[in-house]
Amino acid sequence: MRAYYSYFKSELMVGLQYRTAALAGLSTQFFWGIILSFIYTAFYSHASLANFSINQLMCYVWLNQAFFSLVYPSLNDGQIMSQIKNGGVAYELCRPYDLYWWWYLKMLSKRYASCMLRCLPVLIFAVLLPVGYKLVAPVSIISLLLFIISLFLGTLVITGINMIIQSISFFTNEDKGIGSIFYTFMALLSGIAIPLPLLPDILNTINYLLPFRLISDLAYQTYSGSMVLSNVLISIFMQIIWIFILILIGKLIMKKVLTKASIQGG
Amino acid sequence: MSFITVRNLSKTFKVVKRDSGLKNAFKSLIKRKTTEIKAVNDISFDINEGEIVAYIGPNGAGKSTTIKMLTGILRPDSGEIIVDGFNPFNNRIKYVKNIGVVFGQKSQLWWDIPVEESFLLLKDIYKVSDEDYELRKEELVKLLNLKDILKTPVRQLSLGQRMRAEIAASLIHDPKILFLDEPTIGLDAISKVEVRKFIKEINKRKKVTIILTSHDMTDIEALTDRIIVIGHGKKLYDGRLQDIKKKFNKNKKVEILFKKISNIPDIKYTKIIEKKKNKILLDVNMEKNTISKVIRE
Amino acid sequence: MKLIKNYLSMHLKVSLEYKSSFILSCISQAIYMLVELFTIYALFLKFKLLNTFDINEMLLGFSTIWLGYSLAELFARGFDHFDKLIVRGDFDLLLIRPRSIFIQIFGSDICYEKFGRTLCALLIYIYSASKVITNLTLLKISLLITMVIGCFILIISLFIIGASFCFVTVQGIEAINIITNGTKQVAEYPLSIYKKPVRMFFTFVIPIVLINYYPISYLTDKTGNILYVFMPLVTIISFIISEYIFHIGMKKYCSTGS
Repeated sequence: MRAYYSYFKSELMVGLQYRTAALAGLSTQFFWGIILSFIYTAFYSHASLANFSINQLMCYVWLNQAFFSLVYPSLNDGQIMSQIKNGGVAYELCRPYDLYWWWYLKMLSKRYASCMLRCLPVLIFAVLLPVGYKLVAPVSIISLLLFIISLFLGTLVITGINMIIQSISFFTNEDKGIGSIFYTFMALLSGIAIPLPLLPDILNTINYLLPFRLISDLAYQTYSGSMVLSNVLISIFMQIIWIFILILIGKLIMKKVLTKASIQGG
Repeated sequence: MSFITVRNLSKTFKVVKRDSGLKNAFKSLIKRKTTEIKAVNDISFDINEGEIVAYIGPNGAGKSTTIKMLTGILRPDSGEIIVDGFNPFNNRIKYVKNIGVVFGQKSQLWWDIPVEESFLLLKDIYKVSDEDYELRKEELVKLLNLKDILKTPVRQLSLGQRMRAEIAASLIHDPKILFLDEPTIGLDAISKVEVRKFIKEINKRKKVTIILTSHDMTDIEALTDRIIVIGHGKKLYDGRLQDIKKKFNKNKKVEILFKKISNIPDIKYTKIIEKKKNKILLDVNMEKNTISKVIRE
Repeated sequence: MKLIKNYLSMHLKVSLEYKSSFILSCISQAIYMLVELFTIYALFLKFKLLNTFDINEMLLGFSTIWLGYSLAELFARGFDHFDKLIVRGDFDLLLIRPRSIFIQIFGSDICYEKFGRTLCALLIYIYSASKVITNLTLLKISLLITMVIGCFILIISLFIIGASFCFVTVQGIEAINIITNGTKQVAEYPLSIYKKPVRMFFTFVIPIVLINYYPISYLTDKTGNILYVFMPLVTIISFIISEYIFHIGMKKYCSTGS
């Protein structure tokens, strides 16, 4: 466990080193949030939605900006792929831990390290905005608590998916095409491209059983109360199941990848 | 007037100074401390047409800054550069038609496509006519032994082959001056020898003036007589390589082992540094004496 | 001219070296755009605004900006990713060539992977234009062409301004990228949905209305003012400004180095 912790720490240190980069990333989040809120308020000025108020929408937009690096589809840097390709995996195989978990936690800690650097400024910024644009308080303490839990579980879901995609892209031997097509659809279905309550109802019905909405949409809707409590609890239960399924699939594929890699002499 | 004239050339850079620590990091966000570094400080020299001159000095001495000013990339703060009647920075586009540059650590060739394609692009960039291009290509292929690699993508070339192609690429437009910035960096011993041979050949056949920088003393020894040494932005030496060798290698330490120490004669131009039971250490002035002479005595 | 042709063919050869990867990225780029289009459609559906806004007009606005943007990404990637040119020091190599710096930067990178997206946008553009325009005149055809060119020039100007910032700090490009992408994002929607301050910004600061909003109202015969036909050409001013800024940056670069 200590190894993972020190990896997390070094990621954080690297992030702190590049201050201008962090600042640039932060301003991206600010401006993007502003642009999105302009676009959405334009729609709300023409009509309003029954089950998704403008305040709830703004919560969605700003939480998404603040926790962007936790839930963004393809934050991984392809490090695993390149390691397998260039033979660096030999080093990793010599280390005294399970390779799947090592990479899994590496990706996870990269997300958290990156998030720690930018989430607070964005949240403060969002709270200080004028009414109608600002991030309002969660509906209740319970929903805040459930928000934190489901967001954490959401990062486990996305990392599980990342592991699978990375392993598959090893077989297809390219890391730009298929992966990015998948991630584009994932952005749509996970609420990164557009808040899920704004998608057509048919699509949301199908999406309900898929893991993508569990990454971040569930957490944001829990926070703003646009999802009823009973549904939230069921969804958290689904998160746990999906986490197990994804890890299982990921481990199976990883096993195949490593056998193939060692046959290649990588 | 000589071919290349450099007079009182100076260039100063501002460098941001950062102190460590979080507090200082925030401070530097607001107010930045800058220090001025004189990269090139009052340098003058002349180079004649057809010369090979090596420009040497430790890292950060101001070598590449000077090269960048000579090639028209950087504007000098003060001083004057006249190359073949041009001011490199002010008449950049006209001037660079006459020069070829090879940066050992950068590539002007296209990584993924055959070498010849890069040549063709350069032909268009420099507006070389078809006949001239064919003529020169043939000449360079023969000279630099490129026949087998012309159709190969650059990524499949060895470093030595690539450097030969780079040199050829910078000669497509028949420049009068060739700048070589560390042309042998990273090459193995055999490739180094080859590249040196080609550089000499080019200089001899095409009468190209060559200015090169290198850290490799054997490079310089093999290629040129004249060196310009620069350190901390200042010119330290300008002259023949042999002379500087003599200057610094004037005295050699000689250790002589004896079976039995007899009387040590007093030899001219030689000092005894240390005397032990069966060993003496001598300091011999090589200009006036030779080692064999000392031993004989 | 021959040089430009040569640059184009060189980059095509590079792209074709990695054929399967090239085709896949082409497709994925196009899919990205289509997903974006789908989200816009979804929004109009959700807010039941499809009666107030003509869907073909919307498509025309969307494809104008995407066509211009994709073309800019395709041909002006050297400016879009100018930070790489500076970081790798390859900019110095351009300075030692006896050709215009601008042409060389354009030639330094041409991203054929954006072709899939460009083609896709072009098809939507032609389709929606044919639906929107009832009586096709010569002026309208020329307007359709200048709209795309104007948008292309406007986006390129933004790229160039971003690139100019690289002479000061390499990270500066990201700040400008937000503005470029933000402009694209805002202009994907019909500009009439926005409130006045937002519209003002995109009239006077980044004049996206000139290539999108006003010309479309001419195409749909909402106005007969012939001046609207020449509006997209006003973007040339933004190009001149950006070129000026770039030269200031370059001067600074040449006197301070990297």
